[in-house]
Amino acid sequence: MSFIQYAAKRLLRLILTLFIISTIIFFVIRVIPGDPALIIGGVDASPSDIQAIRTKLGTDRPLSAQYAEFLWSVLHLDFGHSMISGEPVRSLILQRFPLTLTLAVLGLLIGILIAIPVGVLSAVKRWSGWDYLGLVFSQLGMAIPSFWLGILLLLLLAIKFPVFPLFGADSFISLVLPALSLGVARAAIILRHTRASMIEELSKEYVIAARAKGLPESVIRYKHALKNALLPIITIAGIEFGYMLGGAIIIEQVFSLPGLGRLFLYAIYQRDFPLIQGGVVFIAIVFSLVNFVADILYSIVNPKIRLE
Amino acid sequence: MNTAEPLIAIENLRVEFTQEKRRAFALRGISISLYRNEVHGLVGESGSGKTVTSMAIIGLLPKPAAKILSGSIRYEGQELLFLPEDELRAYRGGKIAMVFQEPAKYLNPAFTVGEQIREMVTLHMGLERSQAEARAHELLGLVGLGKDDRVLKAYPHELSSGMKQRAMIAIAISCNPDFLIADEPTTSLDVTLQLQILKLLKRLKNMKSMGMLFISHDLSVIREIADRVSVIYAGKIVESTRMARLFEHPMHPYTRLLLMSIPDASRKGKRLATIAGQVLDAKDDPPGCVFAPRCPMAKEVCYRESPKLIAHEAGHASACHFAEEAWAL
Repeated sequence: MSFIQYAAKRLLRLILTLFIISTIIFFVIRVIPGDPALIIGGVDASPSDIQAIRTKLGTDRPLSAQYAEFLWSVLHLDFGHSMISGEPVRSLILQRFPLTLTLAVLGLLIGILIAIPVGVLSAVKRWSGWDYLGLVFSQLGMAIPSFWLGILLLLLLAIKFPVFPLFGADSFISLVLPALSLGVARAAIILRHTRASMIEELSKEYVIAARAKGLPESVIRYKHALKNALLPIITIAGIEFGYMLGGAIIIEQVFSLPGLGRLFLYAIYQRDFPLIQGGVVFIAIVFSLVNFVADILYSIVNPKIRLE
Repeated sequence: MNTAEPLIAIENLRVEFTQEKRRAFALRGISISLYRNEVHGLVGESGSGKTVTSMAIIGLLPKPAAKILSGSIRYEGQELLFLPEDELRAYRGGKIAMVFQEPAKYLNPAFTVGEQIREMVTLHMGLERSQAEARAHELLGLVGLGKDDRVLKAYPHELSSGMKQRAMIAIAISCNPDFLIADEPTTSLDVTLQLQILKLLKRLKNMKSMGMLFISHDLSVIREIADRVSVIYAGKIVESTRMARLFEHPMHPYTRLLLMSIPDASRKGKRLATIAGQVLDAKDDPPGCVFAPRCPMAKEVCYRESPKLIAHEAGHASACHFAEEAWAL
C-alpha cells in the first residue's frame, strides 16, 4: 500500500470516528437526567421562563432536528454562545487554545527530551546504576502528582529563589515551571516505554548485523534500534499530548493560567451548557486529530505498518 | 595446496560460555587457516561451534557470557583478539564482512535497502552521498538485483526471500572485503534459490578474490561451493582437507558417518544412516576424544587421550587415534 493510500484510509477513519464521537456526545447529553432548562432557570423560574430557556437552547424542538443541527454545528465548529458571557463558544475556546497548545508542546518536548536519552541509556546498560536511576526517576515521576511538583517548583523557584514569576501567562518564562511540572510526568511514562521497547529491539538480529557492518554503537542505538523502537513511543506520546491539549486543569489552577482546562472547569461550575458541549466536542476532535497524526508518523517511521 | 600466508589464521582457539553459573565449552581449541580466493567450508551439527567461530573472527562474541580462554586469530599477521573495539570496527564490514542465515531478520526492517548499503560505504569508504548512491546501484547489479531501481528504495518486507538474501550479500560485499563469512546463507531458502545464491557467492568470490568461510550443517551444500572443508564436532575440528578428498577418503569416523547420512541416488532404497547417541554436552570436559561416546570404533585409548589434529597426508588432517587404519563401518 502506498503512503497516499494509507493516509487516505486513515483520513476516512478519522472522519468516521469524529462522526461517531459527535453522535455519542449528542445522545449522552440528552440521556443524562435533568432538563438543562430547569437547572439553568433555578427554583424560582416560572413555566414561561423555562419555556424561553428551552427555546433559546433549542431543546423544545424534535430530537431529529436537534441532531441534524448539532452535526451541522460540529462541522462548522460553531457551538453557539456561552450562556454566561454571551460570547461565541468557538472564540472562547480559540482564545484559550494557544496557551494550552504551547503548554502541551513544551510539556511533550520536555518529556521526550528527558525520556528518550535516559530510556535508551537504561535499555543499553540494563540493571546498571544508570538504569536504576532512570527507573527510580520514572517511578517517582509517575507517583508524584504534577500539581504537587508544581507547588514545590513554585515554592523553590518563584518564592525562595525568585527566578520565575509566581503566576500569569504574560511571557514565555512564566510557562517554564508549569511546562516542567507537566513534562516530568510525561517523561516518566514515555521513559518506561522507551526502555522496554529499546530492550526488545536491541535483542533483535539486525543489531548483530549492524555490528558486523562495523557501525559505531551510537549509530546502532540511535539510528537502527531507536527507529524500530519508536512505535510504542509515538503511541504513548500521542495519547499524552492529546490529554494535555484538552487542558491541564490542575496545573492551570496552580499557576493561575487562563488555559482551556480552567475554561471548561468554570463552564461546568456555572452549568454553561453550550460551552461544556463545545468543549467536549473540541477535545474529542483534537484527540482524534492527534491520533491521526500519530498514525501517519508510524507509517513514516516504519513502512511495514502500512501493510497491516 | 596453499603455500602463501593465510589471510586469517585461527590457532588453538578456546572459547567458553557461562550459562547459569556453569561453564560450557563452545570451542575446545580449534585451528583453521583461511586463504584468499578460497572457500573454506565449516560443517557441523547445530551447537558444534560453527557460529561461535564466525562470531569470534568478527569480534562479536556476546559479552560477558563468552570468554576467550586461549588462542589467537590473526588477519594477515595482525592479532585480532584483544584489539581495541574502535580498531576492530574498521575490520568489521571493511575487511571482514558477514552474510547471515535469515535475511528477513538480519536486515533492518525500518530502512530501505539503498540506505543500508549507503551507510556502509559512507562509513568504510568515505563516499559522498551521490557516490554512495552510484555504488549501491552498482552493487545491486552485481548481485542480480539491478534490473530496476525499485530495490534501492524498497524496504526489506517488500522483497522476496531470495531478493532479501541478495540484498544482504550486496551489503556484505559493498566495501570490497577481503574475507566473507557466510553463516548458513542458504538454509532458510528453498532449493532452487539455494543454488542461485551459491552460484552468486562463488562468482563474487572469484571476481573479488575473496577468502570465504562458508558455514553449514549440510555437507551437500558445502560440496557445491567449498575448496577446502573442516568438520567440526563439539567444539573441535575433527577433520580438515580438500573438498574432493573428504568424499574420496574420509579419515574420521564422524566424517564417515556424516557422509553416509547424505541422501544419495546411488544408494536409493537403502535406509539413511543416522549417528546413534547424543552430541557431547557442552558442559562436559572429557579427557579423551569428544566423539568417543558415539563412535562405533572407540577403543579404550579414545576415552583416555584426546587425539590431536594431525596431517596424515599432504593437506589432510584428522583428529583420530585410528585415522590411518583401514576400517569398515
